Amino acid sequence: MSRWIVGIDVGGTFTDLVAVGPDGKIHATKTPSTRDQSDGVLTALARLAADLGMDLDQLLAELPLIVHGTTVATNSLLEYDGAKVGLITTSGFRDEIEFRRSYKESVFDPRLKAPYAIVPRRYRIGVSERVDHKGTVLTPLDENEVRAALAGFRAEGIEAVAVCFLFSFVNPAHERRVAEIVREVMPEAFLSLSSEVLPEIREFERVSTTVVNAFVGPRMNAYLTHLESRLRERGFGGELFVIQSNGGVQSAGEAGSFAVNGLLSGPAGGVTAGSFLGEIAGYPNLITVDMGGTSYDIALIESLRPAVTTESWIGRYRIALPMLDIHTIGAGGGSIAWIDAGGALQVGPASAGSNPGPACYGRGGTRPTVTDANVVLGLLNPDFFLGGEMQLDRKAAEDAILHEIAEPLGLSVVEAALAISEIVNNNMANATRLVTTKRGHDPQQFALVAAGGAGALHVGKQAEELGIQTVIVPSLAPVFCALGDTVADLRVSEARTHIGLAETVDFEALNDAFQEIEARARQRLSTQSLVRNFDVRRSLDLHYAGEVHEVTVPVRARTRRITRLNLDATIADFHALHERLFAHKDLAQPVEILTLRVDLIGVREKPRLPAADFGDEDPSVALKNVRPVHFDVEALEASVYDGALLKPGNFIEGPAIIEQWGTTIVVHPGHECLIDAYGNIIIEIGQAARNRKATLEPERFPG
Amino acid sequence: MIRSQVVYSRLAAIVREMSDTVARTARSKGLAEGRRYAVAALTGAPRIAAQVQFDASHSYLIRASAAALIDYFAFDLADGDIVVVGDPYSGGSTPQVLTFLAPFFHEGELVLFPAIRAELADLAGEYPGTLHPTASETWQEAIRVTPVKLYRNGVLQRDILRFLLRNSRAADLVRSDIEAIVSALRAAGRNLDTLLRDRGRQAVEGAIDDAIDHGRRLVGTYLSRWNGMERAGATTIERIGSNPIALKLRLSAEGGTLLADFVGSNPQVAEPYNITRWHVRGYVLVAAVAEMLDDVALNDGVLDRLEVRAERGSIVDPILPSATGLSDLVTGHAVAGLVRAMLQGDGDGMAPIDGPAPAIVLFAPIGSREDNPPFALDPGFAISGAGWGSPVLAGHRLLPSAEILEARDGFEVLFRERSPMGAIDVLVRNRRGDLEAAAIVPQRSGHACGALVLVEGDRETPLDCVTGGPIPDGALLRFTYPRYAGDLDDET
Repeated sequence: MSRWIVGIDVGGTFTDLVAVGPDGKIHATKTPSTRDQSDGVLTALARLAADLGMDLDQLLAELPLIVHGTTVATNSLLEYDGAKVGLITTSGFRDEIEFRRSYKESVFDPRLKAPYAIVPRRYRIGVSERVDHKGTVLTPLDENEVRAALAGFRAEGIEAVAVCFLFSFVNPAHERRVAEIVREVMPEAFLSLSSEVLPEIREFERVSTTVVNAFVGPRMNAYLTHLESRLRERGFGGELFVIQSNGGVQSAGEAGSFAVNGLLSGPAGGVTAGSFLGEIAGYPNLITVDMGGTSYDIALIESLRPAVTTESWIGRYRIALPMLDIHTIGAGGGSIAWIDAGGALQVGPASAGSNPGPACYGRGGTRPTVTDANVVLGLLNPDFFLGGEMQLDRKAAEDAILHEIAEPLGLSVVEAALAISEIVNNNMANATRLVTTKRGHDPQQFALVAAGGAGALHVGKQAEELGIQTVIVPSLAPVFCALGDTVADLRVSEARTHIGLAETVDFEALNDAFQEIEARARQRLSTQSLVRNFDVRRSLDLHYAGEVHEVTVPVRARTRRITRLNLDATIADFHALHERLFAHKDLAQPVEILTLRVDLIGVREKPRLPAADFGDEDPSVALKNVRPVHFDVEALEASVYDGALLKPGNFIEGPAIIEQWGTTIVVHPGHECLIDAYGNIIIEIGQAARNRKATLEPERFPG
Repeated sequence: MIRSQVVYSRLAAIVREMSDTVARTARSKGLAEGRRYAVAALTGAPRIAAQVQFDASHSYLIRASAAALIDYFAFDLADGDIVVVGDPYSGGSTPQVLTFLAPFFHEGELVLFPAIRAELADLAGEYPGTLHPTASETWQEAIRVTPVKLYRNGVLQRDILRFLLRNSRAADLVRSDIEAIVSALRAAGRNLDTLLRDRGRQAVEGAIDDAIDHGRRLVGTYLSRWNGMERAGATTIERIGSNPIALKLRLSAEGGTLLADFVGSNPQVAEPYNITRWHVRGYVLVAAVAEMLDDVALNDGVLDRLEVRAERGSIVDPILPSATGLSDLVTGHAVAGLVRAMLQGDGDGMAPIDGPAPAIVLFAPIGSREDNPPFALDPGFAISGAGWGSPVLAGHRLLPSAEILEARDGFEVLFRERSPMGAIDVLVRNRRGDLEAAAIVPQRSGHACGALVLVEGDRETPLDCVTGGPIPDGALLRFTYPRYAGDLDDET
């Protein structure tokens, strides 16, 4: 038992657990999420213990590692239920968090409201200090002003102090001194320094990320401390890790201090699992899609590496840390279908949520949703929703679609349901296309991985629309994020601004800076004992001088020292990447370095999943029945299989439905699927590759 | 209809992608941070099939500029061509703005036109950049780029490019921006090709027709709340040292269509307050339907719902050689403010969308160097009438980072905060060397819309209307941006 690894992902509805044994044997369980997330975690662990014939204390005593995906930080920010934060900043700049670089989510809405102020103006205090862009102190820190500010904070009951001074990424001395004073006079306060959270140029991005860290930090810290103490009380002697927004894991202590890194802790597990799945199934390029009740998440994995972005907005706050690039749209099973004033059918972004939920839930909802359409079309079995734990009301679904969509549009109920399905499929396909093309890729080069309860219902049609030939529905699709928790490596992402033209770079300074960043990253991972070896990935944020946005390019160096040759090769990669992303490059234009990045990856031993031998192609043992399903207006008789009884090697031709606990997989007419050695369902779309017209390339301008 | 929606959404996504490419790769701050561009796909008519814009002014201008180009090159457009126009009197608005049109052929037939309209950093004129607050005629503001072919059958016409670059004090920026625009157009062409192969020409054209019909219905339903309305109103555009310019408007609505009749407005003036007819129409449109513009596909169906009437030679439909450079900064705000006030009538609930603010463009002393790229320094923004953020007419501009301004651009931001009155105050020190400036502080109701002051030691010089004024190295510029909202909830 001693080498079992447990991943636990807490979602909005369910708490999922995956435990992987030393022989690769997997146990998975799902329990309802609870208000105190630690209750759900312990319930899931107790259920695992029961499955293994143990009691909880015995199980916990033998576990070396629990990796946790939690929505505590996310919920804290999205619900604006965080700490009371005070901000100390350079005098004259206390409103940057409010100006937010004049960014507005809606360009033309004259009544767009301000975001909820997580640091109200009265708690934003400017103090005298100034450092210039070279790090020279122009105005010394006025400690009396700092102490006065902190006295005010104490009086107001401030729980967390954020500190962000101009150019602190060049010279953090003033921020560090403030930290010393905070520890002296407000020792109980959570502290968030911009020079530690995000030592990069651009003050709004830095202050926003730092303040969010302060806002969610105390909640995250308290939760992790609470969870860990409950686990310890029951005998847990191993390590508690938390999955981070960059797809890596960190100790609970680190995760609490840099809570802003945990904002994507939930969905990050799914992307990491996608990468793991791609490795064992032989698909290095993947698009993972996760369709839940209210939203649809899309992420790209290229050569088994998930795409990362530093341009995230969460809860209307800018988070400039490297995070998995998970694109979310408001399309889920609960998305409401409606007709706009121009007579066009729209689906979402409003959602019926889980209460009242879709009309077919029978909880009083009357608005037609995507789930209602799936019930009407026969894709979802009303008697087998959540494995039969919940009965769906087909009549209520039909009535909702009839009154709200079919009658106004002059369609039959089935036609209206097909229309709802087509619109939502199209919305998801368009979003998926955007995610791939914005990174310079063609979706046809990728396999589509469907996770989440509703993903496998829609993924086949999207693949057709996108020209994707292979769809993978993981055997652990309903607990995919928890699987990712068990396989994620430790990871620290560190960065520092280091501005200079590539042509005239000072290599000694560049190498020194990289070594400092790496040393800091190693310090953050120094206490970890579960690391097999370290992988250091260095990269540069580059752009053509004058461009506003940067492109992150891996450094081409085999040694720790970067030379002119290394840099030239990296710059060549930059030109190529720029052309791939934006359809042009400019070899004559000076290239500027803006930020140095180091990803220190503590590689963990990965679970080895046992591959089963392929058996008979014939899936008839798993055949439950045959039922009419509307892939078009005319229904087709589709074979319905019990997913739990399918074996590796089974081959199914569409039209067919595979029903599993927590998900239903649709195999459309013309599609075929195979159960692979790991129990994953591989659907082949078999769509002919499209011939592309050769187009005229623009002639380059003279330099 | 459902299939049409699906096909149209692909077309709209192609246009959005074209827009993203320009934003990410343009080198000039006007495009990359100021988002002073718009992109569209047009039919051959030309009708706007889909458009993305970040400020109000472009709504009708891509179509009008495209019409000028198509009219000029009627029988001389081929696959691989890119044609260009940049002239207030050829479907344009302010100077220095070029429209690029790339005819897209499918199976030998011209089907669509991807187009980009963008403000370039400098195209000659008396002062570098786009601001000349005392210009009397258009040639003082920029060269007029009448229709030309930049690419012929995919081959760059070097003489045309050379002509454009040799007439710019910021040739490198202009060259880079044009390359970004051309790349975005070419990528759009490839994506359109995929779309037409996937769906067929008939389906795409049908989807555009359906989307335009849908837009017409959607906006018609929205505007029908004013059916039967007949209102008259007037306002003035104020200038320093001259009489106010009268703007008169009769606004009526019938059948879900709005008619804005500016007959009786001031004749055109020998100052840059004139605004072209298509430009006016854009401001009227945004004033009327701002609340729904984020949610509606901007196409000809939307644009058709609005008509403008004006007298040739008037302030709202000037003829050559009138200057138009302040139409965005000043006149457009007056137009939109007037329309908005008249639509509201005695009722309540229409938040203002206008709100002019000070503007300044800095450059090395005129005549001191061949390459003299202008720098539009805009370190704050007006606070909108709704009380938060910038006014709708300010568009989607990104406020420059104080740290970037200091580390890269040579401007040290000493202070940027809300004042006790709630307006944004900014203090900037020039560390870029001796400069000159063109600047204006718009006037309204007898007051300046904010303030812009040069501070040298104890001496303070207002920069209310300046052309070529010196800004010495080390001097301070104090910006006070106006606040158009009422109640102030300052410390919450």
